[in-house]
Amino acid sequence: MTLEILGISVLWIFLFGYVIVASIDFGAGFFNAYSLLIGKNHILTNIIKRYLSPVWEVTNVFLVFFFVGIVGFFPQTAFYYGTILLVPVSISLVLLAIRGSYYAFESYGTRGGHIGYTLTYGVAGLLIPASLSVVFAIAGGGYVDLIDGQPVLNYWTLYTSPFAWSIVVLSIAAVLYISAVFLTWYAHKANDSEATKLMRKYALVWAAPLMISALGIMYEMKSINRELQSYGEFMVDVCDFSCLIYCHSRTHCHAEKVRTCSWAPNCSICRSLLCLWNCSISIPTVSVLNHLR
Amino acid sequence: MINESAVYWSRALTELTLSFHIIYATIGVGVPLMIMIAQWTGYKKNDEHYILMARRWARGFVITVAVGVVTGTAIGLQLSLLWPNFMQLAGQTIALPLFMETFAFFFEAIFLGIYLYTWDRFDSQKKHMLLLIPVAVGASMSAVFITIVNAFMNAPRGFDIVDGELVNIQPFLAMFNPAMPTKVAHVLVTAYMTSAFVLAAIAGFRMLKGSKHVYHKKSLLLLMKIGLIFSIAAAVIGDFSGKYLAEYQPEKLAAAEWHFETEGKASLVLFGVLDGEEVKYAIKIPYALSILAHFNPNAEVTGLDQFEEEDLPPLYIHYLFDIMVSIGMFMVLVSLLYVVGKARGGWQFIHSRWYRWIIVAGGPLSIIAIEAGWWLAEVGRQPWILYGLMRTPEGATTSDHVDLMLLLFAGVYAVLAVGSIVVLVRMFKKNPIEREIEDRHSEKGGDIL
Repeated sequence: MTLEILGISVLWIFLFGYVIVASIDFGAGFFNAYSLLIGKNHILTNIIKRYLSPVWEVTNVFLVFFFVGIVGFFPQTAFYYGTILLVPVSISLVLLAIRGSYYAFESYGTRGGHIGYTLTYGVAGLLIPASLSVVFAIAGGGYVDLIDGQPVLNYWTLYTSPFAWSIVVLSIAAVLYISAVFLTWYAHKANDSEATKLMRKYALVWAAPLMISALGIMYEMKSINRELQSYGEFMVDVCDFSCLIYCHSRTHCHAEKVRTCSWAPNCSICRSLLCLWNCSISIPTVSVLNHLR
Repeated sequence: MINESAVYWSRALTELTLSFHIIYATIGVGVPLMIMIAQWTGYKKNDEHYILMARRWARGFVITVAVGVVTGTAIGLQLSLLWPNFMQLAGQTIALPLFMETFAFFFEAIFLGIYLYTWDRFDSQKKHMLLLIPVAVGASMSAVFITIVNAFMNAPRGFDIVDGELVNIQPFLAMFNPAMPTKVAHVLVTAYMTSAFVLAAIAGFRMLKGSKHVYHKKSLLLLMKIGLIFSIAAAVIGDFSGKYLAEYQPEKLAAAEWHFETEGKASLVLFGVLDGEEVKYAIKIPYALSILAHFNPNAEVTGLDQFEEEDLPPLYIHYLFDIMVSIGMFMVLVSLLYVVGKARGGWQFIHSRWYRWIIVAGGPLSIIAIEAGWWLAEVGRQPWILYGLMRTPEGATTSDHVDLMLLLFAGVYAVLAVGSIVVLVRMFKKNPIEREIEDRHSEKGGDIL
């Protein structure tokens, strides 16, 4: 195994860890805020808080591991991505700062909660995946010009690109869906039938926009002709889909009390393995698709 | 290609982020040790007040840690966003300490979570107290690893240069560079010192505001003792830092001390202002600079005349040096008088209102000393971002809009500063120590004490 393969494998694990944990985390924060707005917080807040409190720092650590790791294994990326991502990633950083600190302010700093803080971190959390997913669109190529050897991001092309926007929509829908599905399972585990029912409803509601935006991206990819351009996004899609399918089947299993999926027990390692496995099949699949096109 | 305005704004934004982060980072490194000492004292003396001290500090600490984490994430990514050329050159070498820093934080966060979650859930106080060891160790190790990165920027080692790239990297040699021992030690002890004086300032403030509870007296004395030990340690290690600089970065020392001519029996310049190359109104301590630099009153100290103009840091760093050293010495004196006065019993002035105000001022002053120290360290390394290898403008981004990002982050930091202060003030105003002790006793039926 070369250093590059080792490096990218490690990075994928970090990124994957982050995507899964953070999706659940951000979605949970949003549902918490939303339930407060529509007056259903008595059903949800308890279950969401019980999940959220131990994970918030851990989530952040995965992200830091990823960006420290990518510079360590692939120092060139610091130059290219560091230069072009100044504005998009700074926006993500601002949102991360708001989300992380207001979460702490609300849960450790107040007795009985603070609606303003809850709304602040709920909304900021939902915008983080949107802002971070722009990186995937940029990584696909077509938004960067090389001027005098220096990469320059073409903001206007990016801003007016339906492809980038679809990814943003997909990321938000995916976060809400993944989180709702996970919390359904979590509430079910905690024998909280009312919360289970409500979260399941949210999961079903968010499945539709998710599928539509995912299909939209596939359609847009077809119209983009550059070889390998959509490699990254496609992998993300496939991974997202694999998570969704898996989570969905799991919700279904639990809802029906049928444990047909015994090969993937309630074990996070199996879940991660499954995702990685899907990842690895997606690589040959995408290559084949690219050649066929 | 160098984008001058991007260089300028990148420096400004990095300075802003670091200056803001370092306040929360210093508290984040030092306070876990204070919590541990308080809880240990409470356990040893079987005194509930010290245990409550640990508990109340931990409660406030969680808020500052959150801001420390998010601003730490910001500076971590800003290294790549604002200094992509530097990270391209050095990223591979500093990735290991950066990675270990994150891991140390991870370690701390996990045990901090368990510690907070298990208040009153352990049968044995001792077991609960033991959870604080990994918290304090993790916090301090984070500081160690991140300071190693900074030390590497001052004294890069552990690689060969081939075609402008760093190759044959030996990560451990790079980590244990000559700047590392003094820098790491100085950062650690000043973090402990500052945390002790900040907490002491809060205790002093509560007493000035009329709280007569013995809790504050106990906490003030404990913190003054800790502060005294670490402020003396900071001075001693600061002296070693001078010797390091004389050996490896003589121009940094010479600029900080306004030492223009290379000479033996060099005197140390304190305060003063600079008029051209003439130092006015300064206090000159004979032989002191030779002693600081080489442990020998007759030793020759390299002056600014040995260097090219373009390799020198700006001379205003002398003012930063003055601020840092005078505050440090002042705090040694304040805590020494308090501790000795307490032990002797006769000195009434240490209980007077004006002395309380001095103790209250000690908190912000220590933070100012930390800021001045870091500005001295960073500006003093100029014009280099990686000493001797890469100049700061070469490391910066070429991207536009850095000025806009500066405004954006300034806004966020303002929000975080106000938010964290409001939350902390409310948290302790609503639940002063008198009420907390009352609540605990009514819950437990008064079986404690």
